[in-house]
Amino acid sequence: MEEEIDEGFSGIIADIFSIRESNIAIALTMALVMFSGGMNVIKWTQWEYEVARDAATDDSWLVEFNVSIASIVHEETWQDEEKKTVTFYMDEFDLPEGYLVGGIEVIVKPDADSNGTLIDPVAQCDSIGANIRNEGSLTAQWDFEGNVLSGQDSSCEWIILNLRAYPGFDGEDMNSSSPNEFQALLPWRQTGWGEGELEVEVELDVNTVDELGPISNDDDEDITIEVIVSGFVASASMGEQ
Amino acid sequence: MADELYESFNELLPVASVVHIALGVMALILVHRTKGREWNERFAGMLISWMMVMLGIQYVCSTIIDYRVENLGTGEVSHFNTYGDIFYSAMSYGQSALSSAFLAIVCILPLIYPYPLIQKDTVLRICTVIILSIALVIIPFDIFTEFTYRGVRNMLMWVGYIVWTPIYLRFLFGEMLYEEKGARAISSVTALLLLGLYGQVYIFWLQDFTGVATVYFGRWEVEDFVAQSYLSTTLTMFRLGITGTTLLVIFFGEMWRAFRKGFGAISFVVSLIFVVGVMWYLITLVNFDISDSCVQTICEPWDENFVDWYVFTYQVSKFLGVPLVFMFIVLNYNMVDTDAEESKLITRIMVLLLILVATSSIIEMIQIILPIPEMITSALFAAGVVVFIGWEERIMDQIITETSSAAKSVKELVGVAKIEISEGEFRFFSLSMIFLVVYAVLISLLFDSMGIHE
Repeated sequence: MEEEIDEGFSGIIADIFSIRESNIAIALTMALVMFSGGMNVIKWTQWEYEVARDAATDDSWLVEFNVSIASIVHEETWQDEEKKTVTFYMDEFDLPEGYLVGGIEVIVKPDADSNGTLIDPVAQCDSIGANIRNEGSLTAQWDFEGNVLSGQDSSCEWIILNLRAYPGFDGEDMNSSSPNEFQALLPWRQTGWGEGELEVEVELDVNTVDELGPISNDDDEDITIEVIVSGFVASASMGEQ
Repeated sequence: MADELYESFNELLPVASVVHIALGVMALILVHRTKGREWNERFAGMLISWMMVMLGIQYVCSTIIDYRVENLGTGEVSHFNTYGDIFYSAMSYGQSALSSAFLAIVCILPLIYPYPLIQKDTVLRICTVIILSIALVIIPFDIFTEFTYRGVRNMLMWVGYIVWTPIYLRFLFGEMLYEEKGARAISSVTALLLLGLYGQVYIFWLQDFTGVATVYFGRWEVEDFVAQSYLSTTLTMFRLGITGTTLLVIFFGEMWRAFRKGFGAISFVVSLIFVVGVMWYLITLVNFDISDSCVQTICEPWDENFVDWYVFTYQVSKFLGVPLVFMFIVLNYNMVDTDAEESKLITRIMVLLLILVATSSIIEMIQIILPIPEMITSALFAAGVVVFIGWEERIMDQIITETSSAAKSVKELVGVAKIEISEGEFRFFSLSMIFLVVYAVLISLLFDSMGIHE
């Protein structure tokens, strides 16, 4: 039967709660809401919010590098006007477990006796040219401006070449702004750099003196190539230094 | 790979914006033409129509934002060079403003339909003033606070849970225990209103209820361009509990009814959401480490299948479920006069539009998951359209002949005050809503041109 009444707000609300069984269900619903919502609020406010904010807030971290060196020496005789490429396999460098390749230094050493000895006092220094060749077989920072990929010498000095393997690595400790240790160290945990084959090209041009006699026959040179690989492992601690 | 995947995040947005606006406007025309309905039925129809329009305009802004984000860095949208440019632009402000306007309307609907809590002759004026007052405050508030108090603003959505859940239970028990005639019309429309308004969050009900969902909020604190405030997230945590619990209430209510009276369409939809919620819970557990990665280590990208699942469930429920449910309510619960000759054409267009959009959207979503050739999906689409057009007349007949009036049932079962609302008041309400849209758009444009966040 249709009923049109004029009642106050309390009367209107009372109509919704006019069935006892549904009121019990409503009370149960409210209890469940309080339980579930309350648990969510407690969990969030007591633990999760703080952790999330920490993760979103940057702190200062000091990133330190523990550096280890490994080297391989290659010795060979070059003939006059001979150009040879020597290949070094990066996995043959004995770095400690977990260390990443940071940089590669190549030292090309001419024969120590090439600038005159008792046997051959008039011998002259030979001209040596050395290059680190980018044949695509070594993963490194080939475009880094600080690399020294070519060198030449004719005064019996060592030729020192450098190639940065790991992006940004110069061996110096640094400060980082990151929300946590993991992210502070993240730039220093990339694997894959400094892997492959290092190819060093050396060319010899012998300087001889026009002099009679058997001992003046200088048409070759013993050259030593030393490759030094700097490996590193990074660690981070809170606070700047 | 991941970028291409994330493009599907808002796949349905452009379609949704057009559909919402079109359906909203058509429903509005129908409601204004309708005579001889209960005042709260007509007013509810009007509120729903305006809600659709507000959502539609909001989605237009979202579509433009989405386009700009997709083209960021390509030089195609040269004005926007960084994500910050987009985040603090008129479109973002517009999206926020329209969403606030939507919330201002949403919090009124439970107060007047299906059971009117405000039973005064001045009800329309009161509601108009409340909506405008809320909107005038929260629109600039949300923008000023850089959208970081969404949880506070979204408390307006709680009104629906708080009012409709007891009403649903009251009339469900009335039908089940006391055989109250007409009670089902009220409990069913209340369940549908809850599903329409909260369907897209109900699909997460189990993870919300158990609190597993908090892992996403932790991630968003780290990942979002501007993180939500402490107060905002805390209130949202409580809302998760409300969401999970109210879905459980509807589910158990509908299952109880289904065992006694048979399995209906609403029982099916609620069961589907229940199952999707359980699956979401399991999927969240599987992806827990990825979700938690932002907080523990560094944000790892989502798994491809996880994104597909999200897109399929969330987008379908948000962009397709909402207009379907609300239009069903408008057409089926006596809010508009579908029987009148001049309204039939618009009703028919609405039904066809819904059918076509539903078909194409579902096919589009399926294509995201299964890489079916377009030839096959086009054929499927054509087949679907043919079938639905064949059904169109039946659907129309059903809507016209089998409408049920929840408002009349309320009047019969518990009684309501006799209220006469003049035609002018309904027109005044619609004019106020137009003013609200203009206000929201102007605020967005002005705030952007003034560069308040620069």
